[in-house]
Amino acid sequence: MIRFNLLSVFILVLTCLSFFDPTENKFTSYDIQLSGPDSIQMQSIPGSAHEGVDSFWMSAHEITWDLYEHFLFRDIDYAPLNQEFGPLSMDIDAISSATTPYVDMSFGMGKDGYPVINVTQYAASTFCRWLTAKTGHFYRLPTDDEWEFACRAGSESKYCFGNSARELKEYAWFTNNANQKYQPVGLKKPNRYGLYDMHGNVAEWVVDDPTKPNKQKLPLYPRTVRGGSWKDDSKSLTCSARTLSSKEWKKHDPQLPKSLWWHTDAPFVGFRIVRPYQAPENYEDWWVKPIKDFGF
Amino acid sequence: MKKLVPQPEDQTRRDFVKKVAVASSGIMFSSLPLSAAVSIDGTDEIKVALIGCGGRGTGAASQAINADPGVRIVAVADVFEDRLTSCLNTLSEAHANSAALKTKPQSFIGFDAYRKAIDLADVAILTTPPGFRPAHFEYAVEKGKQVFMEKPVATDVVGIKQILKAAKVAKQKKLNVVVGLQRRYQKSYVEVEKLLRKGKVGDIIGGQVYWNSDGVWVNERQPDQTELEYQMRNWYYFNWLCGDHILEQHIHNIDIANWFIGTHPVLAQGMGGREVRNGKDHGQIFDHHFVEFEYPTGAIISSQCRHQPGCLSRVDERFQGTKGNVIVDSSSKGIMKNYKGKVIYQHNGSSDVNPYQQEHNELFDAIRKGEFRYQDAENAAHSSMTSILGRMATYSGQAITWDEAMNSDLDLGTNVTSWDDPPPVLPDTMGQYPIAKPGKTSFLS
Repeated sequence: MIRFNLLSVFILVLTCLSFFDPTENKFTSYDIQLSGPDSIQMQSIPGSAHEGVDSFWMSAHEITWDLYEHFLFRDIDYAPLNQEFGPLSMDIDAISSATTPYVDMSFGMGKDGYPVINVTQYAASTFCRWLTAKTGHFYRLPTDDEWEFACRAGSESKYCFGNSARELKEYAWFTNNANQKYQPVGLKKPNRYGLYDMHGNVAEWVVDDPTKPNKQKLPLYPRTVRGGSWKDDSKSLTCSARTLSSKEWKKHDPQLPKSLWWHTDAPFVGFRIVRPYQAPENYEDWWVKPIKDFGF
Repeated sequence: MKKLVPQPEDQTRRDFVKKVAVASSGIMFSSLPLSAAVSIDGTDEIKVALIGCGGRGTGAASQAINADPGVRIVAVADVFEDRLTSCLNTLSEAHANSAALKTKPQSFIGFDAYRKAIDLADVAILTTPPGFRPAHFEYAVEKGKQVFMEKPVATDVVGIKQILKAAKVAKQKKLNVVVGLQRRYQKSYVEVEKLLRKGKVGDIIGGQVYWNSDGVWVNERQPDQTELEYQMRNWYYFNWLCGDHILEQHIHNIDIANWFIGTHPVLAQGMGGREVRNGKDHGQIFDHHFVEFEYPTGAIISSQCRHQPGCLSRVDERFQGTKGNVIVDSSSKGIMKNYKGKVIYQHNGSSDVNPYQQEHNELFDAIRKGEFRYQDAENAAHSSMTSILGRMATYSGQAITWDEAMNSDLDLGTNVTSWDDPPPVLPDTMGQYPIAKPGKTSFLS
C-alpha cells in the first residue's frame, strides 16, 4: 500500500512537472476575488521532484485584517462570487466562527492593509477552510517544506537574495527598520516567485504534513512559525529560521479554557495561504483540529 | 491605598488558619462542621467559592488554584446549570492532578446560590455579570470572607453605595479585597505609577484614554427562553446587568486616569449614541461614547470608547504632565518622555508575570501570611462610578457633577432574585428596548 502511494506521488509529481512550462496557461498566478476590492493574489510556484515539493500556489502577501475580518464577521458567506466556483462543495454554515476578541487584537498598529496578527494556528487554518467553502478550491496553510521552498525561490543562501544582512532592509521589515510595529504588506521587494514579506513583517504559521507518520496527534505547543517578524533581528529572518509557539503567547488571556482563536501575546504572528496544484483526496485532514488550551 | 499590616514574625501557619477562622463570622462556626471551618491538624487549606461560572470565573478559579497549593475549590454557584457544569469540567481537565479539586466542589444553582457557596469558603471569587456584584460583595463581607471580584463592581448608584458601605466593613474586619482591574497589578503600570509619584513628568494636566475596538459577543435569543433568561444570557446589552461598555470595558482605561491622578473627577460632559450596533440583539447600550472628565486638580481627561468594526482600533492611556508625557497600554508598553522627546523611562515587560495571575498571587500570598494588604473595593467603586457618571453624561447630553450623580440614587433594578421576577426592562411591541436619547433622556436613567 505504501509503495503504491509512493508510486502515485511520483506519477503525480511527473504530471505536475508537465505544467512547469511557463507557456502552459493552466498553472498560472491568479486572484481570488473575495469581495469588492478585497482579493488575494495567488502566485504559482512550480514544485521540484528533487526537493520533494509538489506544485502549489501561495498568496503573494500575508493575509491582511481586511481579508481576515470577512471570516471573523462572516459578512460575505452568501455574497455571490465574482468568479467560477471550484469543484469542492462544502456547507459554509458548518464552519466554526472565530470569536470576537474582547480586546483590540491589532494593538493599535493599524488594520487597513496590515497583516492580521495574534491568530492561532487553528484560526489561520480555519480561515483556509472557510475560504475553501467560499470558493470551492482547497486552501490550507503551507507545510514547513513548502514555506521554505517558496521563501528561497531557488536561493541556497541565508536569504532569498543572498547572504548579506545589509541588503535585508530592501526585502524585510525587522527590528532595524520597522519602528517597533508591523507595516502594510507588500511595500518591500518581492522574491523571485513574487512573494512579499517572506522575510520579516509578521512570522507565518506553517502546518505539518498530516500524511507523514506521527503528524496527526501533535501537542498544542510548540508549533512553528517561519520568516521572523518586525520584532526580530536579521538572524531570525533567514529562509531556514524557525520560531516555536508557546503557552506564553496566551499569557494575557484571563479566561479558561483559553481562546481557541486568539493569542494575546503574539502581535508578531500572522499567516499566508497555499493551494496545492492537486487537491488531496482527504483534504479535510490538512485543516488544523482545535485543542482545548488550559495554559500549560 | 494598599496598606500593609505587619504580623508578628513568629506567626505560624496554624496561627494563620486560626486567624482566618476568627476573621470569619460566628455563623460559620455554628452552622458548619468543624472540618469545613478550620483545619485543626495544621494542614493549610484555603477554601474558595466561585460565584459566576462563565469563562472569566473559570479563569479566575484556575488562577487561584495556581496561586497557592493550599487552595481548594469547595463550592461553585451560578444561575445556569450548563455554565456551572462546563466550568467544573474545564477546571477538572485543566487541574487534573491538583489537590484543589480532589474533593468535588459543591454545586449551587439559582439566584441565592451565592449565599450557600460563600458560606462554605474562606475566599469568595465574584465573577457574575456586574449588576449582581453589590449583593454578592455585601454578603461575602458580612460573612467575613476575603474577596476577589471582577470589575466593574456595580451598574448603578445604589449599587456603588452598597459597595462603598461594604468596603468600609471589609476594612474594619481586615478582609483582603482584590478587584480585577488588573492593570494595577501589571508591572509596567506599577513602575510608571511609581515614577509619576516621584514627579518624573510633573503634575498631570491632561490625558486621553481609549477603548476603541470591534465590540464583543452577542448571544441570540433562543425560542425556549423567558425574557429574563434571554437578558441574562445576552447580558452585555442590558444596562442593569452590564452598565454599557463605557463601564464594563472602558473602566480599565478610566481607572488608570483615576489612579495616576490620584482621585476621581468632579464633572463629566460628553456625547454618544448607537450608530452601527443598533439591532434587536443589541439591547440598550450605545456603541460609542466620548466624555470629558474634569478632575479637582483641573486636569481634563478625554475618554473615548467605541464598538464599531472597521474603525481605528486603539486601547491605551496617555497623559500629559507639566514636564513630560506618558503612554501606557496593557501589552506592557510604558514610555515616559520629556517635551524634547527624550525617553525618561521605557518599560521592558517581556518577562513580566501575567497580571491576571499576579493579582491572585498577591491576594493569596497575603491570605497565606495572614496579612491585610489589599482594599481595592473603594477605588474600584470610584472608577465604576466615574464610568457611570460618563454614561449619565452621554445618555443625557448634559454636564453632570459627581455629587449630583451620587445624590441621584440611580437604581436600575438589579435586585432580581428569582426567575419569576419581571426583568427591570422589557422590549416594546417592536422588540426594541428603552434606549437613551440625548437631550431627552434624564441622566437619572
